[in-house]
Amino acid sequence: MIILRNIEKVYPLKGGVFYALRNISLEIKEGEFVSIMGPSGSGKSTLLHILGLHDSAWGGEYFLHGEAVHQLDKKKRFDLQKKHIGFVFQSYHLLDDLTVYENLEIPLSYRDIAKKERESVVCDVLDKFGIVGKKDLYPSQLSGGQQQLVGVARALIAKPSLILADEPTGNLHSDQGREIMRLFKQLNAEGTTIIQVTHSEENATYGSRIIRLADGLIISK
Amino acid sequence: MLQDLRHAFRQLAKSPGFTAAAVLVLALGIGVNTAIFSIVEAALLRPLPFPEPDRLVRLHEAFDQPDTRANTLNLSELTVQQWREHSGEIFTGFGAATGTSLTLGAATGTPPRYLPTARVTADFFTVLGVAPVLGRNFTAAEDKPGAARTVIIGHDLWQRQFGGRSDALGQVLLLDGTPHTVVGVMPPTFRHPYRADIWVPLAAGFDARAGRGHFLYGVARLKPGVTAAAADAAMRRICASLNAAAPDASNPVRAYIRPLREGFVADLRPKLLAIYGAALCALLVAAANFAGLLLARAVEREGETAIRAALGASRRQLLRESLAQSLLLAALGTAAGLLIATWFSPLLVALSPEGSDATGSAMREFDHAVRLNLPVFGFATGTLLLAGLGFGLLPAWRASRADLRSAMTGGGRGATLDRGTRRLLGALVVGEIAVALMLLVGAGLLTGHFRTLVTQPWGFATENRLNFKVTLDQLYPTPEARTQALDKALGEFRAVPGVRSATVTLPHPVEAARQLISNNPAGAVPPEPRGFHLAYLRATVPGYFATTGETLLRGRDFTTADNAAGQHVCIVNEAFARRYWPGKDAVGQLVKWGRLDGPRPWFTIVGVAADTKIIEDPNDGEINGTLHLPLAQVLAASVTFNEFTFVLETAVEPRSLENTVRAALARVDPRLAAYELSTMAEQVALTRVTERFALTLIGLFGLLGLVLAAIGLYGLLALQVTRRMREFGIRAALGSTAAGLIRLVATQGAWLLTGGFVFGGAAAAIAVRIARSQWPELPAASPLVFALAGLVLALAVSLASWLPARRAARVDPIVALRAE
Ligand SMILES: Nc1ncnc2c1ncn2[C@@H]1O[C@H](COP(=O)(O)OP(=O)(O)O)[C@@H](O)[C@H]1O
Ligand SMILES: [Mg+2]
Repeated sequence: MIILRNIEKVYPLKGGVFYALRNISLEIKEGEFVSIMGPSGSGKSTLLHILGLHDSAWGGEYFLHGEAVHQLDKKKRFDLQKKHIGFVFQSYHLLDDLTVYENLEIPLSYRDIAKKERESVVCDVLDKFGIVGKKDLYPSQLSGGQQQLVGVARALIAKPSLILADEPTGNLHSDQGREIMRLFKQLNAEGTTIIQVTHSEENATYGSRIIRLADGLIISK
Repeated sequence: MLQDLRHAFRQLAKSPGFTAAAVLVLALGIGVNTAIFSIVEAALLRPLPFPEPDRLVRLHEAFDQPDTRANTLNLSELTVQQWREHSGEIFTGFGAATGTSLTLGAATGTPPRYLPTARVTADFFTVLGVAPVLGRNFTAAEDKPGAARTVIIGHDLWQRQFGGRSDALGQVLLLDGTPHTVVGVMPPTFRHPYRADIWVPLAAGFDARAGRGHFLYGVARLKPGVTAAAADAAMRRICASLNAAAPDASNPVRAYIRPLREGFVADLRPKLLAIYGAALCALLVAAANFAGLLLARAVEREGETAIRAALGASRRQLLRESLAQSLLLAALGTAAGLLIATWFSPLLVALSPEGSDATGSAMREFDHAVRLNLPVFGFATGTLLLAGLGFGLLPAWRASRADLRSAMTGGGRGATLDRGTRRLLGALVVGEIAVALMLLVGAGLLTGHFRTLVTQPWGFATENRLNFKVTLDQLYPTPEARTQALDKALGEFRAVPGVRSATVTLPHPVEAARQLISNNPAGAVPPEPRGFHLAYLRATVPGYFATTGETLLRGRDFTTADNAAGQHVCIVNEAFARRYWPGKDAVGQLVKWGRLDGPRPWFTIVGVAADTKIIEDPNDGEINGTLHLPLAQVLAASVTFNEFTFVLETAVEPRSLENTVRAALARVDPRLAAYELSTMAEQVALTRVTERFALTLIGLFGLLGLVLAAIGLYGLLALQVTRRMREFGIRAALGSTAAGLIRLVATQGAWLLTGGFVFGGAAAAIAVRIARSQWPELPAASPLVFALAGLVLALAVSLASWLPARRAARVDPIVALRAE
């Protein structure tokens, strides 16, 4: 599903350049649940943003579902991202002004889905995540765990084949974290590929494979 | 408080951009307002410079009809004499005056000069309560026909002619060829009435025949404690007993009494108030903008405020700090505003009709120089307090209530604006847009009004026409003498090389509304009890049409046979002919001058002239057309006509003939002076100055309001975009396109715009209605005006939304989301 060859990412610095990622080559198959680990500043988020097609200024080759991302123009990458990828963020990044329902609806509204259909999809997901009762609440009225639940639901709603999660449980109590991990496990079992960044060895055990980074290099995969 | 101010000062010095923006916005609003207010103060608010000015009233003869100026008459000599005699119980004094012009003789070696002159009763100045600064008033003996000629001169003339020396008293001035002894000098800036340079005794004849002409301006001083109602009742009684003693249908039934000041400001008031209203609107926009800036700043500094609060600052202290800052800004803005005003005021005055001696209101006869005086300064200060405290309070209150928890946890920085603040800022912007729309509608309305006024053709030629006035008064006392002198002058002018043709008329073609003539077309019913219709008088000589370029549609022009001894004939304009003889030829019909039972003759219509453009005086009431009469026959009927306008058709640039024309006039009589010499094109351009002025200013305020509203909206959206960068990042990460983000910002701009349109449209409709009730010539606002104003505003607002929207569209999710 994902093939990376010699990916490198540099940030220009005053004295020269700084390699945030170097020589990253790796393959991730459909249906895997991968945890990326490593010390702070080792390049985990950077790698995730590249995988998520947010970043386009990098070197190397990246194939996603057989498409050569490094050869695609901006528009094509954007379409590819919309089609395949869902995001979960450490600080949830729900929109404060929108209700749970409306937050879930956002990704659909960007994908030309008819209002009627959106409604049924959102209701489905609300049901599946057991948050139907919360649909009219604002994010500030939810606990952190509930907010992240909505975050995951939102990442999932457009039925991506790949979910990228950057420290999804970083702001949560361990109980709440465990619940999110069980959810990931279930989604993975249903066929969604998951790549998560995590600091927690416990969380990593839910996954099928660990990739360790240090100073922008892969030290084990 | 001093501590607060010092602190505020440091804060402001640290953010020069914000400070400059706030000061500039305020300075513009306050400066422009102060400048306008200084004109309003001079023209409308400043009391007349006389002792107890409230007791001074102006008097008209009136009948039992509604009080409009059209239904009242100036005083006749007979009325003045009778009222003066009988009104001692309500007035302490009763003066009368009339305007004329005298020519200061060439005897002194200088060319003769025309001087605007007032003929006044001996007690005229006493009634007003002004005294000469040098010399004395006229005596009652001097105010008699045949008395020794005396003159009181204005301050200006005193300086020019006598170098301000006190030995001017007793000197002799040759006025219209007659020696007059100077007995007094009036104070500087006093030129009342008729913007006079000199004053001579009225020396009214009070003879029964001429005594019926209504040409006297009457002013009286009410006794202390006498109310307007009491004066009115007393005058009715006096009129009734006068009429009982000598019954006459043309006797006035009562006096129309108005405060003296009122007469000078009434015409000006609606226009100045409209201008002032616009200026106030601009100030409102500026103040809202100022509040918006403060509010935005309060939001940006939320974190700091929260820390202060955490360190123990009470809410009161926080409030005081914010207020100190807004007051300091307001003070700076006001200072800068006053600077703008000192620079802008003279410019405005120069631009305004008030600044022009030719077109300014009668208020220029008194000390009404525009200046930044105490009331004006007070106004500016009041505005400051309003802006600083009123509009500063809101943001200050907002700042003092900063949400500690969210501000401190850093969530505050990234979070979107809270609902309350957003609503407040939104309301400010909606208000700004609404007021700007109102201003633009006003400007559009005036532009349309002005265009119809100026594009309407005059009906006479304006190119290659030289015109000037000559007064024939005491030098030529009889109609015959005047007619002969005018004929001789025409002969001289026609012989000047470069002159194609010449004619003489009264009044000046551009000032057609100056001279009204009472008339009764045969067969038409006169309005009672007045007994006559009013038409514009045009007195002409043969060849008038050829020289002026006006069109004679039917019949014939006057001929030399239409003289004082000839049959009485007239030419009417098309409107007159159509009104009384629709579908028929008016030629051959009869029109009587004056009341049907009056002594004036009937005139036979010999021609019909095309209508010309006339700048009407709305106070004149209904006018039934224009009546051309032969000048010789007009003069034979009344000696009060003494100001003549010559129009010369030239083959060359008209101005180039000035000297030869003046020389030609000197050959007729070296004592005569040609004045107000100009080209017809210049004269025409001088018309409508008030409208032009109003248009320019309201347009200017519209522009100012537009720019400020756009800046305000920009500020709000920019602030929100900053606050929403994280949201935009999330949305981009979730699949929003750049266009989607732009739409998000633009939608918000569109909502604010819509709100502004709704409120502004309603407010504009109301404002236009109010303006029209005060300024009746104003047309109704067409939907087109609203649409155009809306379009202009929408364009400005789009631009203001575009910049923040573009920034939103460039959001980089990686950067925006790096709170991780
Ligand atoms: N915009 C940037 N400019 C320069 N250096 C950056 C930038 N973004 C990230 N870095 C650096 O790149 C390295 C990797 O960052 P990141 O991928 O966020 O690490 P983490 O593994 O903690 O998620 C860090 O040393 C960080 O300081
Ligand atoms: Mg990271």
